[in-house]
Amino acid sequence: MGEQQLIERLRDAAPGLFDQVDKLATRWLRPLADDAKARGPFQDKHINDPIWGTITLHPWEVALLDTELVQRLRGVKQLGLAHLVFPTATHDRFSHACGVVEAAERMMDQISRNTKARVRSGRSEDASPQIADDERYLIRLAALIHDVGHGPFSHAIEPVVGRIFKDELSQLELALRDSIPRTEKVQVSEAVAVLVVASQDFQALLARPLMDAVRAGRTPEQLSTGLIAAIIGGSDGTARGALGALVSSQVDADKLDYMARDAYHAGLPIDFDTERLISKLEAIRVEESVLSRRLGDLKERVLATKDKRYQEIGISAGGTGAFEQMLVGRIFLYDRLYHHHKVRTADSMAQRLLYYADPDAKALSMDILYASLPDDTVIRAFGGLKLNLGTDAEPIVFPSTPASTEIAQAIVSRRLYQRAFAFAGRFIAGLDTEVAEAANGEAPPESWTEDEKDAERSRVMRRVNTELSDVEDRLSAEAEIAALAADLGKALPTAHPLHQQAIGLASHHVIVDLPKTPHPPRITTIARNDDGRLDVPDVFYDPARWATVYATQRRTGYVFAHPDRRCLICLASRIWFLRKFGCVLGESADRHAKSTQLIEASWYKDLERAGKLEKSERSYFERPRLVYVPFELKDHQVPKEWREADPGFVRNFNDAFRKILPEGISALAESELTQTLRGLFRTMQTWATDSQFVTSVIEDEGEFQAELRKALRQVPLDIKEGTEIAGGETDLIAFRRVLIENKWQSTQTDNPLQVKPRTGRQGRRYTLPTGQPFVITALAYPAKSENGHLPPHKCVAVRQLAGITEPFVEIRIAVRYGDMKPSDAA
Amino acid sequence: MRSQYELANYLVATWRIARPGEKLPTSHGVLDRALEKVQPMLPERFRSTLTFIETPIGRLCRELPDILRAAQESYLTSEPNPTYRTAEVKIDTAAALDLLDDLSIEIDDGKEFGVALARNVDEEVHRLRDTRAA
Repeated sequence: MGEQQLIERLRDAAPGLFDQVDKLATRWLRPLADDAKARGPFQDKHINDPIWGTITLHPWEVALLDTELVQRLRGVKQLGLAHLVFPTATHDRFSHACGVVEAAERMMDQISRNTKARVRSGRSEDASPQIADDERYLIRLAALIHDVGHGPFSHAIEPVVGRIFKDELSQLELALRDSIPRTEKVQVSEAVAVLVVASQDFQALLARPLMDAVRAGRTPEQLSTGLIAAIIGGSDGTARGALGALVSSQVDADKLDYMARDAYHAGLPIDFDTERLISKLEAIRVEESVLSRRLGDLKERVLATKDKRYQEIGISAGGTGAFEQMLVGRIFLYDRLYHHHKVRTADSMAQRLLYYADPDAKALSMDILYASLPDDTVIRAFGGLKLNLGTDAEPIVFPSTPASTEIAQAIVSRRLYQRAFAFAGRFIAGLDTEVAEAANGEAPPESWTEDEKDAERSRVMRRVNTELSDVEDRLSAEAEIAALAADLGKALPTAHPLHQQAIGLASHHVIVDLPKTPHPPRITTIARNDDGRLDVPDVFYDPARWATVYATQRRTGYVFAHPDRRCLICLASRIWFLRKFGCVLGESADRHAKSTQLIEASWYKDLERAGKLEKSERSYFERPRLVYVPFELKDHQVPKEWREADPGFVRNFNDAFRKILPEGISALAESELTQTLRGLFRTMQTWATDSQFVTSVIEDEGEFQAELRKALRQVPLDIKEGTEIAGGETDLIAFRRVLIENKWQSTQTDNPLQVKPRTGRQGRRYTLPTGQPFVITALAYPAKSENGHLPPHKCVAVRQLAGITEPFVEIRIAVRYGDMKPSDAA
Repeated sequence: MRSQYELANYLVATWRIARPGEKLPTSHGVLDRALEKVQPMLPERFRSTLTFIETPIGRLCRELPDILRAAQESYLTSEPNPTYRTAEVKIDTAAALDLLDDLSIEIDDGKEFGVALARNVDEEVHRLRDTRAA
C-alpha cells in the first residue's frame, strides 16, 4: 500500500475524529504554517534535564517544540493528579517528550557503537549498516511527538475520548493493523498522535525546507508512515523500520524516560540500571542460521523476506539483569505510585469530573478536550469557570453541571474522596476465621482446604471482576450505592447521625474503583547469546509473570466517598456488597480502608428497626462470616420436558428445600448440589426415554451404582466412590460435598418415592465428613403396574429427613428398570 | 475489559471440563497458537475479542496475557513456582459448569471447544518438542 493510501485509509476509518484532529493540528502548527521562513533558521538547543543531564535538540525539533503542538504538553501533567499526593510529581509531558528524544538518541548511539564493536572483534562479518542520519532524525521526531495525543490529566481522559469515538477508534486500529506490520494495541493517545501526523498541516510541514534533513529525499507520505509506525510500535522488518521499536516496544525510550522521571519526581527511591540496559542494545539481524529452537517459528518469517533476513532491535544476553530490573521496577512503580490509593482517588475524581460535566457525551469535542489549557484550568472550566476561548463564530464552551462543579471544587481544594470500603478476595470473611471462631467456643461449620477457600474467593471475585470491570458498570454501581445510602439514611430518625449525611446525597459522591493491574509485560524482546544465537532472554525465573502475580495479590478495589458522607456510604457499600455478591468482608478489609471506626455497631439494629435491614443480614455484619445463600435450582438446570409437563417444578422444588433450610447453604455446596441435580435430572430424562434402559435388568446395587457413575461422569460431573470418603460401600460423592446414596429395590412398587425409608438416614451418616445438611437418595425400582410408570419429573421428592429433629434435606430420585419388553408381552 | 474476564471464565471452564486436573500451558506461545486455530469455534461474542500479532519472538495472541491475568484475578488459576510455564487450574467441574451457565453457554458446546483446544495444545507441544529435537 502506498503512503498516501494510508492517510486516506485513516480518514475513511475515523472521519469524525480525523476532521476534529485535523482542525486542532491547524491551530497547533499555525506558527510554522504562517512564517516558517521568517522564524528560521533555527539553531540547536540544549536543555538541562534531571534525568539525562543535557538534552540536545536539532533545529527542526526546536521549531516544532515552539508550536502549540508540543508546548501544550507543558500543561499536561505526566502523572495526572498524582501531585496532590506526591507534591513534587508535577512534571509534565513536555519534559518527558524531550527526555524520550534524548533516550532514543543514546540508544541509537549505543546500537551503532555495538555494531562497530562486533565488526571490529570479528563476531560479525556482515554487520548491520550504521544508522543513517535521516533514520536517526525520523526516530527523534517520532519521540518528540509520540505523546501529542495526550489530553488533560494524561490517561484519565482516554475513556472519555473512547466513549465518544468508540467505533471510529476501533476502525482506525483495524486500518493501522492492516497497513503497518506488527501493530499492537493502539491506545487512544497514540491514535490521536497518528491523526496529527496524518493531518494536512503536519503533512505540509514535512514538505517544508525546514524538514529537508529528516526527509532526505523521501516524500512527506513516506516520512509519515515511518513516524506512525514508530508511534504505534509497528515495524516492516527493514533496518529503518526496526528502529521504530526504540519509540514503542518492550524496551523503548518512552519507558526508560518515564520510569526514571516518575520515580525521580515522586521522590521514590526506585532505581533502574538504564545505562546498562542501553549499553546492551543491539541491532540484530534475524536469519535462519542463528535462530534458537525456541524461536523456530521465526523461520517462516525469515524465509518470507526477500533477502532471507530481517532486522530487530534486541539486547545481548549480558543485559538480562538490567532488563529484569526494568520489568520488576515497573511493577513497584505501579504499586507505590500509579496505584497508590490516593492517586487512584484523585484520578477517579478527574474521570468523574469529565463524565458528570457531560453525562450524555454530547457536548464534549476534541476542541474542548484538547484546549491547550493546563490541567488545573481544565478542572476549573469543567467546574463552571467561564473562559473566553475559540472565536466569536466558534466559541469553545466547556460543559458543566452542579455535580461536576462540586467535584472540581473538591479537587481544587484537595478535599479528595476517602476510602469507605475495600474489597478483594483475600478479605472475604469466614475463610480464615476458624481460629477466631474456635476461640469463641464455636466449631467452624466446615473445615475447608486452601483450595476450597480459593474456590469461595473465586465465586465472589469472578463476579466482581466481570460486573465492575467497565467504567459504565462502575458508574451504575455508584448510582445503586448512592441510592441505597440515601434510602438508608432517610429511613433513620432525623436526629440520627446518618440522617444528615443522606440529605442531598447523589451518585457523584460515590466512586467505585477497581484497578486494572499493570499490563502483563510478556517478554517479547529478542536476545543474542554470546555464541551469536538468538533466543528469548534466558531469565532465571520469569520476572514478567512474577510481577503479574505480585500485582494481582496486591490488587484491591475501593469505594471512595465524599468526606462528609463517608460513614453512610461505608455502611451502604457493605450492605450493597452483601446483597450483590453474597459475601461480607472481614476486619482486614476495614483496616485496609482505615474504616474500622466509621460504623457504630448499634446502627445495624437501627436499620433493622427501620425496616431497611434483614435480621440475617444484621447477623452477618455483627459477626462477619461466610455467607450462606438460599438454594436455587435454575430453570435451565432442569430438562425442558419436565418444565413443560410441570411449569411449577422448579419453584416447588426450591420452595420445599428452602422451607427446610431457610438460612441456605454455603455457596460452594449450593453450586455443587445444583450441578449434581442437573446431571442427575439429565440422566433420568435420558434413561426414561431409553427403552433399552427401562427394560434392562439391574442385578444389584453395585450394578446400579456403576451405571449411575458412568452416566454422571459423561454429563460431566466429578464423581468419586463414596468409600474413599465416607466409609460406605455403595454411595457416590459428587464433587466434594454431595453424597448420593444408592438403593436397589428388587420388589416391584408403584410408589418409589416412599419405599426404603431408612435410606436417607443411612446416607446422612455418610455426610458427616462433608458437613452438609442434605443427601440425595437414588433408588432403582421395578414398577408393579402401569401406575408405577411415572414420568421422570414425578420421580423427584424434596423432604425433611424423617426421624431426626434438626433440619436435613433428603432429595429422593427414582429410576425405573425391569419393564417388560414389548416383544415379551406379545 | 468485561469481555476479557468473560473470555477468561470461558477458557478456563472449557479447559477444566476437557482436561480435568491438567495445567494450562502458558508459555512458548503454545496456547496462543492453539487459540488461533480454534478461534472459529469460539462463541460468536468472543470471536472478535482475540487478535493475533507478529512480535519479535513470533506470532502471539495480543490479549492472552490480559486474559490469563484476568483468570488469576478471579482465582480461576494460579501460577506455580518456579517455572511459570503453566497455570494451575483451581476450579472444579461444578464451578466450571457454573461459569458456562453464567455465560449462557451449553455444556456440550463448551466441552466441544475445550476438547478441540486441548487437542491443538497437544499438537503445539509436540511440534515444539519436534522442533527442539531437530
